[in-house]
Amino acid sequence: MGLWGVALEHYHAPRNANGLTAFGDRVGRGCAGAVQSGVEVAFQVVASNDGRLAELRWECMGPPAAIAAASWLSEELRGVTPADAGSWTALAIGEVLHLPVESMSSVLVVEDALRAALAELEEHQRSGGSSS
Amino acid sequence: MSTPAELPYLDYAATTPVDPRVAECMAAYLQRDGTFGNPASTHRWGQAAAACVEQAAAQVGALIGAAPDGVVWTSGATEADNLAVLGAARFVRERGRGNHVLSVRTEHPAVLGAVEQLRRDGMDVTLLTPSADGSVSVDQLGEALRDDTALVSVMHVNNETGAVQDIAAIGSLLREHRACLHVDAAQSAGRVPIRVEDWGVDLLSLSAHKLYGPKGVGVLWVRPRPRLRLSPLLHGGGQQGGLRPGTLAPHLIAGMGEACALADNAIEGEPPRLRRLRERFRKCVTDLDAVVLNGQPNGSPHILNVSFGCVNGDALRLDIEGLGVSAGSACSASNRGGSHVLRAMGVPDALAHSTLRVSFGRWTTETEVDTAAQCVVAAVRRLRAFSPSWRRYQGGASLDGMYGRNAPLAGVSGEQGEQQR
Ligand SMILES: Cc1ncc(COP(=O)(O)O)c(C=O)c1O
Repeated sequence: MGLWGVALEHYHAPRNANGLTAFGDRVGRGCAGAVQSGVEVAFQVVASNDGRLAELRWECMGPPAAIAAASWLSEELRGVTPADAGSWTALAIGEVLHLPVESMSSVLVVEDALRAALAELEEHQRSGGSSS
Repeated sequence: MSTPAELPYLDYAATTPVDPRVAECMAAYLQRDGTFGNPASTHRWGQAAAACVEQAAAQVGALIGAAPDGVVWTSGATEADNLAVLGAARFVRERGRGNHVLSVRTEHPAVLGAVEQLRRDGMDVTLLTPSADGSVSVDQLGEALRDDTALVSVMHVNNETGAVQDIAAIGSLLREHRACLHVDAAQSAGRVPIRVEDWGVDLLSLSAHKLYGPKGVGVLWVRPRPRLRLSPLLHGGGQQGGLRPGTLAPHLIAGMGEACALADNAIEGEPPRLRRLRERFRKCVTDLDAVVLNGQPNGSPHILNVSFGCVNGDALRLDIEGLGVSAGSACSASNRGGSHVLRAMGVPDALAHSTLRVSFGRWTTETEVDTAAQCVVAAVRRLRAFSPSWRRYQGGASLDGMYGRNAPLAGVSGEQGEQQR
C-alpha cells in the first residue's frame, strides 16, 4: 500500500499507542474522523513543567499511512513546544514520511486530532493557570 | 507466523487451477497428431473433432441435468451472460412481445452491464434489492413480474457472498409466465447441485475456469425443446446454429467437458468437505467478535464473506499481504469503488471496506485454512489493539451504532437479524 522506510517501520511496530488515560491541567486530548469514513484518530498530549510536550499517545483506526503518521508524530514531537507541534501539517508529515498522495486525506485526520489535543492542552493550561 | 511465500491460495471463487487430469486431456489436442480438425468440416478430421465436442456437451449436460444439444460454447460466463440477457430480451422485444427485464442488484457485472445496455436501448428494467442475507424471495419476484416481462435473470450462487438463490422455486413461479429464466451458474457448478430441466431454467451460464477447467471457455445452455430463440451477438459462419459463430476450440471445449465430468463425479463428497473447511475458518474468525458474516449461514459451501468491525480495510489488507484472498470490495477488477453486492445488502461502506472473501477448493487443506485464519486473526487483533472504535465496542457500543447501519445485521451465529457479539 505504498509505505516504505521509516513509515513502514512505524506501521509494523507502532510506538506510544494506547494509554489515553492521563488527566489534569497538563493534558490535552483530541479526536477526529469517524468510523463511517473508515478513519478515526485520537491523540493525547501531556506537557512537562517547562511547557514542552513530555508524552504523546494515540489511537487510530485507519489506513497504514494514518497509523504510521500517528506513531511517528508521537515520537517526533516529544520535547517540542506545543506551538511548534501545532505547526506540523499533513502535507509536511506526508513529505517527511514519503506517504502516498492518495493517503493524504487520512493523514489530515491525524493532523486534526493532534491539533484538537493541543488546543485542549492550551485551554487547560490557561484555565488551570488562572485558578492557581 | 508464516512468511508471505507460505501463505495459501484461498480464492477459488476468482479462479481455480486447472486439474492435472483436465490438462492432460487438453494437451492431447495440442499435439501434431492430436484431434486438430475443424469441427465444422465434413471430412474425417473434422468429424473426429465434432465427436469430441459432442462428448464434451454430454459431460456438461450431465453436470447440470440438461439436454446436451442445448449447449452453446462461448468464451466464458461473461459472454454467456451477455448472450443470454441481450439475446433473449432483444429477440422478444423485436417481435413486440415484451419490453421488461427483471434482475437483482447483486448480479455479476456481466449481467448488470448487459441489463444496463437494454435500459439504454429503451427497455424497462427492474432490479430487485435482496434482503440482508443476499437472497430474493419468490414473492418479491412475483410482485415485480409484469405481463410484458421478457426475461428474468437471477444468479444461482453469488460470487462475492456465496448467497444461494432458490432457482427451483423461481422456476415454478415462472412456469405459467412467458418470461424466460436465465441463471448465472458460474459459481454453483460443482458446488451446489444444478437441475436445469427439473427447475424449468431456460438459459444457464457456466465458466470452465471456475471449476478446474481452462480460462477462455464457457457455456450458455439454451433450452432446446421447445427451442428458445435468441438474437445472436456475433455474426459469422453459422456455427452453433448461427447463435454463436466462430470456429470451435476443441482443446478448450474438451477441457471444459472433462472438468464438468470430474466435478459431477465429486458432487456427493466435495460440497460437504468444502463446507467443513468453510465452517472451520468461520469458527476461527468468529472468535474475534465484532465480525459480520455477509450472506447466508448455509450459503454455498465454497465461499465465506466476512466483515471485520473496528479496523480499516487498507490496513487489514496490508497486514495479510501475501494471503490469497479477495477484498470483499474488489471482486470485479475494474471497480475501485465499494462492492455493489454488499451495498445492495445494506452493508455500510466502511464495514464493506474491511471485508474479506475467502473461498475454498479442490486442493484446500485444513492446514491451509488454519494458516489463513490465523493470519487474519493476528492482523485484526493487532489493528484493534490501537483502534478507538474497538475500545468503544468493548465498552458496549454496537457496530450498528458506530457504522450507522439501519437494517439489522445478519449474525455470524446463524441467527438472522441478530448481531454476533
Ligand atoms: C457469477 C459469475 N458470473 C460470471 C463470471 C465471469 O466469468 P468469465 O470469467 O468466464 O467471463 C464470473 C467470474 O468472474 C462469476 O463469478
